[in-house]
Amino acid sequence: MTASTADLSVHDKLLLIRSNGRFSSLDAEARALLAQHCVYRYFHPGDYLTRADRPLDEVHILLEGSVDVKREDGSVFTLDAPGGVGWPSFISRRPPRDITARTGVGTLAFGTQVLDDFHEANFSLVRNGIRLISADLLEARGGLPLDPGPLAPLGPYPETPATFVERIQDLGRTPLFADTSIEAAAQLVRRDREVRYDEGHVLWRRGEPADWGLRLVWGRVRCVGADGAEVVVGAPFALGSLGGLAQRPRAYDAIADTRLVAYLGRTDDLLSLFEDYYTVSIKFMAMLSDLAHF
Amino acid sequence: MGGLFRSVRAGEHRDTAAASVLLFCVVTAHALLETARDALFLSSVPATRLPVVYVAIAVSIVVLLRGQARWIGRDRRRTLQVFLAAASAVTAGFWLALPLLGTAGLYALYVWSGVMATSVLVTFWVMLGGIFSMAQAKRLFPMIGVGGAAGAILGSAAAAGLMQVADAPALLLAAAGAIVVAAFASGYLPGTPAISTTRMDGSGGPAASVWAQLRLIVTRPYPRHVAVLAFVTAATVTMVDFLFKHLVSTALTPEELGPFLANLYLVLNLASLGSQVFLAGWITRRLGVVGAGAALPALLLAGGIGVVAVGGLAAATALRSVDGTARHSVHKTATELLFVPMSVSVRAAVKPFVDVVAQRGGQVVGSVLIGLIATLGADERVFAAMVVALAAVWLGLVIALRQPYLEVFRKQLRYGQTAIPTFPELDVGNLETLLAALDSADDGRVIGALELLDAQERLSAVPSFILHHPSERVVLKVLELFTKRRRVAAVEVLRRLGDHRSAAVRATALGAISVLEPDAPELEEQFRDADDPVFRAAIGVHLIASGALPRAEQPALVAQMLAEGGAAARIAFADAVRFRSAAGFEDALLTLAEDADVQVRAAAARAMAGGADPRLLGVLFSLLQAEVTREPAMAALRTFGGQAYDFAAAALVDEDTPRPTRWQLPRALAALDPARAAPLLLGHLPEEPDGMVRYRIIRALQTLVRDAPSIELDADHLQRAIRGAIRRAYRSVERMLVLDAGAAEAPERSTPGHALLRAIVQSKLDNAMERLLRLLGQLHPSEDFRRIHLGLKSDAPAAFASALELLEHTLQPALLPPVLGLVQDLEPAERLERAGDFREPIPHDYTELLSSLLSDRSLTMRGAAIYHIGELRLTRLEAQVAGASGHPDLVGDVRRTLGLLEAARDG
Repeated sequence: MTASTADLSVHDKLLLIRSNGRFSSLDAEARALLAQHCVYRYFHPGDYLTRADRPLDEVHILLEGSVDVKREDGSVFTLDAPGGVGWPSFISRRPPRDITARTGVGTLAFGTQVLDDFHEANFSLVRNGIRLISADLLEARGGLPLDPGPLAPLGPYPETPATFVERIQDLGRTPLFADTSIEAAAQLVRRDREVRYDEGHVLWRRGEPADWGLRLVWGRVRCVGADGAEVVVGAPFALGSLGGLAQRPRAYDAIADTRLVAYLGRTDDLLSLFEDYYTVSIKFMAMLSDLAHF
Repeated sequence: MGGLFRSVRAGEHRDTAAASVLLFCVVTAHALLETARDALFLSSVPATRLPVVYVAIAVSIVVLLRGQARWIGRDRRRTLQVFLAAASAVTAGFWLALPLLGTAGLYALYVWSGVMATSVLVTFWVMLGGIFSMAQAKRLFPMIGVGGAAGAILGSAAAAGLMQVADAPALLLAAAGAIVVAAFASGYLPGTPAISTTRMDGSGGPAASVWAQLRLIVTRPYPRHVAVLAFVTAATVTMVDFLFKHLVSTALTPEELGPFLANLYLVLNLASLGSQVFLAGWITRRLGVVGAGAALPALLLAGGIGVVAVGGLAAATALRSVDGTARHSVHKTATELLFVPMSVSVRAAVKPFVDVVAQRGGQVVGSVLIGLIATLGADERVFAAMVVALAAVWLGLVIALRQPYLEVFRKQLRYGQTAIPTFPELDVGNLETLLAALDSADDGRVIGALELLDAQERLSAVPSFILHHPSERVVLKVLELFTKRRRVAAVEVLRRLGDHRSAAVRATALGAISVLEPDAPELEEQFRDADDPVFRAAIGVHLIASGALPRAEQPALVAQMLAEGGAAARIAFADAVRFRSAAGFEDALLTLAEDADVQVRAAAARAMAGGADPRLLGVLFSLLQAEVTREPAMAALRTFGGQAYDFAAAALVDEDTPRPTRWQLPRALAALDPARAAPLLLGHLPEEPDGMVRYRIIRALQTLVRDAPSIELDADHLQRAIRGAIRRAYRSVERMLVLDAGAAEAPERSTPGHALLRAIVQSKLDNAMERLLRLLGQLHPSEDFRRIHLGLKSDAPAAFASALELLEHTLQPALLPPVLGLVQDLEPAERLERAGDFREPIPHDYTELLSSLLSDRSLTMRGAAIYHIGELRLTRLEAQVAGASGHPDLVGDVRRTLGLLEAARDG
């Protein structure tokens, strides 16, 4: 890496951050923190921004120019300003990719150690990270949930609701909570509520606010995108939360394809949980990042 | 002694035993060699020649240094074996050659004894520093040191015994034999990887020069301090040694010297062993490494004063006895521990330099001083006075070592990366930057610049023509800021916005005019002519606020405006209310705060700013729960000032306040009035039943103190909260032990419910630890407890050991054992032993524990206990389970368990 560093004032950097859509949900304190701890870097064509064989010391926001990103399979794609460089690796704690400047590239560079520290001190940064990755994931999937493929046959309809402890056990076994905090799982169970819908019930329409989601217990949901594309998902799929986390409205219609039993959770409750359980929030971001980029 | 053996844990026995035996053999050999050397030298050469051999030793070892630096970078076990084999041969060679060498041979023998001991021991301790972590070293070095002390005794006893039947040179042969055994013992130590001694960053390169080592030491405060300390220590003990030998050689005949020295060394070595076994570990644990390092200079200072006052051989012997007892036990342990926190490459460079150049340099300086004083014909009191002066400097250096010592651990944990900056004041250059940003094509950049200028009260620098900006977002922001700042001069430009393409801009501009230059008839006319519901909603608010409408007509008009036009009109209505900061719209805002659309609720929250109606407070606090409404609700609450604070303070202690609202209160209180919130939150912390509220109180206190460092938290309250956290942590530890023991005793208890209970208890323990460390951070704001916490959770031994070391040097004695008991890797019984008064009585019977968990404050714990009781069919707890159904969330689990118990009871 042969980047040169220019001297921008803190106010310059603050304005660059303020005007960059990737930071739009940061609060004023978080923006000030970042402005004071980032540097402007300029890379000539061919310079490395991150290297697969080096630890990731910095991540970048592209201000100008474009970069080539080399995937694990050797293929290359181009990323233009105002994209982020290195963030998925930083969040998922995976080795970085080889990323080189395709043109002259100006970036704001952030030290990963500093970001780690700030993440815990200021939830707004974590929140912003979740928003960005959720948005990336939504875009990668074209707005629809990931197609789960052929669904397993439905078992017997659960006439009686699961008990509080059974629900904690179920949730505690999921990858998000299995090695983070069972108490966090219990908190979420307390905030969610069981809902039952008849076949044909419209769960939501495209364009509605996405401030809640469902974790399916029994039944199937038909999701219909703007272009008419369909995906049918079944238990134990979780759907609908990503839009809220990305601060975007519903991208598809969701209709109960069978009778439905599910737990309804509000996006705000999930965010509140992340705020109180830092390790859970970091794990969540890493999981999303894995889904979105690897 | 038992404590010393217990300090060796599984997996450490072989390495510890090998190191101890090796040291035993080397020190045995050295004791034999030392006795032979002193007896032969002092009986033939005057004591005043001692400074000459001290200098010769120093010079010889410096010459040796370069070779040693090169050797030490290789496989250190092999290096040690080679040194030992060579040392044995040379020592045996002296036995053969001494009769042929005469007085020159005695000088050579004296020098050799110093060179041999230094080169072997330096390699040995550097190697141990690479094998053990700081935490292990503190436990194991005292045990290893016992080998050294025992070797000294055996060597002295063997010397005394041999002197009865043989002459002094025979001791040399015995020493050579002991060194051969040491070479064999070194084969049992683990091999350690080769390291570079040149590139002090550990990156490898050519062999180190003395200058490279010197540069490293000079540029790093901690190694520099350790080197200076070693230098002064050596000068002091050289002076002590000379003072003693000078007096003893003049008081005794040559024939009396050998037996006297052999017996004295035996006694001193016995005392040293006792000190090593009974004191070294205890002092190191109680006083820490730095405190233990202060023991010897303090004692020598007192002893030196005694010699100055009393004089004579007895006093000098007492002084030498202090040195002989403590130097190779307590002091040696503490000194070696000083090197452990250094990185492997730094230690490999610094340790030989300190042991050779600094120590021998100290000896040289001590010797030169002795020579000077002797030349002046001074008596022993002058030498004793020098001992006093040097010991005082030494003691001062040890005390001053504390900060650089702790800094090494702080650096290891990467302290100082998280300083939360304060934003710099706006200077002329930055003002230009912001004004230039107003020309940007990027709306976000323009709005950012406007907000910054407003925040720093420089909005007057923004020209009015920015109202013609092509972006609606920018114009709306300018209108808001100009109105807030009462920019009357902009009214003429505002009027030109009357035909703006955006209804929102037209309505807001009109609203701004009505605030800056009230003109009710104009508003009324605009309202009457408007057909856009968004425009009508905004103008309607301004019309009502201007007082132009009769009061009786207002409610109907408001209802009409809220009903027509959808969410956009309701948002425009709320925004107009905010614009006017007008009273009289409270009922409408309360309605909007319950709107299905979160953006309408957020607009309502913004509009509540500046209100005075206490009904708004409850709504605003509940709006803190949602992400979108939190920031505007908090901003509105700030405008209520003391009224909002009092409301929140009362809601915090009211257990009927809904849980989600209570969770928001600590942060809100801290933001509303930090100075009043600090004692309130801290005082309430131990009383708070909800764990999540406790956690948020701690977080709020951290933020509060970070943002307003002048606020001091009451130490007594903090201590109380800390004690509460320690008690809760030990309660979890003990519960975990009962659960584990119960499952081991009856494997059928290992059910999913048991696993869940265990996971919950572990989670409670993790929470308690996190909260404890956060609170300790408040009690000791100069330490970065977040880093310490990360270190304690780290898998890297060095990070863990650094965190532990900093804890030990930070916590007050009453808290140290219980806190260390929670963080150290200890056997269960040993852990609970450390708890002291922090243990609470909990049932140790498995079933009794489950019974007690049914009344735990945690709903999750109660639920898991109910579930597990059902799994185990514990029918005798049926009544308690039935009584535990007080919470709606638990109804299902209680019913399930009662069903299982009933079935079990019925057969």
